[in-house]
Amino acid sequence: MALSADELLQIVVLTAQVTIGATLLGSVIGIPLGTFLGLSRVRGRGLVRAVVYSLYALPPVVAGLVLYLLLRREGPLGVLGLLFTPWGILLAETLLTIPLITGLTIAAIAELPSELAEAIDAGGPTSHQRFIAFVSQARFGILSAVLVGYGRSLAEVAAALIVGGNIRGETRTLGTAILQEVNRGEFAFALVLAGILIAQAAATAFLLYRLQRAERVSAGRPVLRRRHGEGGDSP
Amino acid sequence: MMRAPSHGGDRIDPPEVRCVDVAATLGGTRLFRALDLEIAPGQWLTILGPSGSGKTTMLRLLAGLLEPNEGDVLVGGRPWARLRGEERVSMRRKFGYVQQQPGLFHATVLENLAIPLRWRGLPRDEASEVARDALAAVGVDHLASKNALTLSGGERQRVAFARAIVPRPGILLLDEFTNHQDTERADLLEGIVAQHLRSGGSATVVAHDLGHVDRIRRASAVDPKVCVLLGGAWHATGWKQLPSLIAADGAVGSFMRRLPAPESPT
Repeated sequence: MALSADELLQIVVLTAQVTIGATLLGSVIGIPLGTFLGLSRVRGRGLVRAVVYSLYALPPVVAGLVLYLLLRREGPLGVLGLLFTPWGILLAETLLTIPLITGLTIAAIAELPSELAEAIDAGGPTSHQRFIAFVSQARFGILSAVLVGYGRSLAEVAAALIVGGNIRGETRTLGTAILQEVNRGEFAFALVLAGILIAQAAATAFLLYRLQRAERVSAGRPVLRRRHGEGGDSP
Repeated sequence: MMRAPSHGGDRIDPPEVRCVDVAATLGGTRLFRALDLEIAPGQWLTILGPSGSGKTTMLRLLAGLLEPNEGDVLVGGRPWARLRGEERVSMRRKFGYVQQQPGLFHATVLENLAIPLRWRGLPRDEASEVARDALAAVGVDHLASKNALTLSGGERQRVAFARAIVPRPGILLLDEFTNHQDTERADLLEGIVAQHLRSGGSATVVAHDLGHVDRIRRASAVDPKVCVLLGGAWHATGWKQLPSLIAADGAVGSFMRRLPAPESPT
């Protein structure tokens, strides 16, 4: 049986809630952590960074499996009752998003010009002011990190399937619904769902592009001009 | 004479700065060793030397932005390395540092000056007002709303200069601060430094031109100490002894004789 409009809406809304929620939670944890690791001179920071970077490549299916074992009724976190709930999917997506946002924030901080970092330190900020100043100066890179994190949670299927269970009307997301429709041979519906997913991914990519362009323009760096004298907004 | 821009408060008292047996290396090359120097409150020092001799590194050491490989840099009688937390922040705020390549914030020109003022507790409106006055003092107030990264080299240097001096630090650390400036604007900045010295402030000025040093000396009526970094060694002297350094045999004399000379060294 084909998806009803109400069911489609429910899937789209749940997907938005999970991906946006995971991005926000991942940002709340990943941005401060990445900034701290980017600025930190404490011993062992290299090891922590290496762990963060290695988690980039963590296969979502493995993350889903580990979370499943933790969240199942007999597992150590079974008492929370998160398995096969939207909260369980949110947790899985957040855990997959954190390393990306953390790692890309470390990179954004590290890419700031050394003379800028020195100027911040020479200005006499408190440790809190210094932290805010670095985040502010690396804002374009950090916003890109957030959008990449959002893109990952949008594209992810395996962990959502294992932890969420793809329960109709409860934990079915766009990604798991596509799988379901393909398994049923309903390719037309699968394509409609894929189109919605692609539209969201394209919107994310467009935002990233605009962000990078805005940074170049505000920093006075050249951007590609339109042809035939249409001009652009580059200085 | 142009008045030094300020936030209306008193200038912070300059700390005594002393290098004790300091050695520094950069990329495996020893820049200098066993450096002993003192900049007492109200004194100023000029650092001369060819490119790569360690002038900027020395400024960074004095500012506490770099740790020496050996020895200590004492500020107010205590090593930079031992200052932590509020003590370190408080000491940092006694210094105003102008980099050779200014690291301006990715923000408007006005914000570049207002941010460090707000760090010091000035309310937003007051910080903006003071910042605007300081920009006017160095002739870049018309750029206030522009992104600082879009400025020319000379404009950047003047914004960085205004940013360093606007909180009225006790000691200025200036790394070739008149780079990219025409004569009129260089005079303007030198005048502000001279006024800072006349009012009892300290300074360390990296220079390539004895005429530049002499103009500040004349305008401030305060003679500098001179430190020459050359070939991994250092040579320090008073301004009045400069002629003997210029006349000296060997590499130091040869280097000093190649510098653009002041009109009258004494």
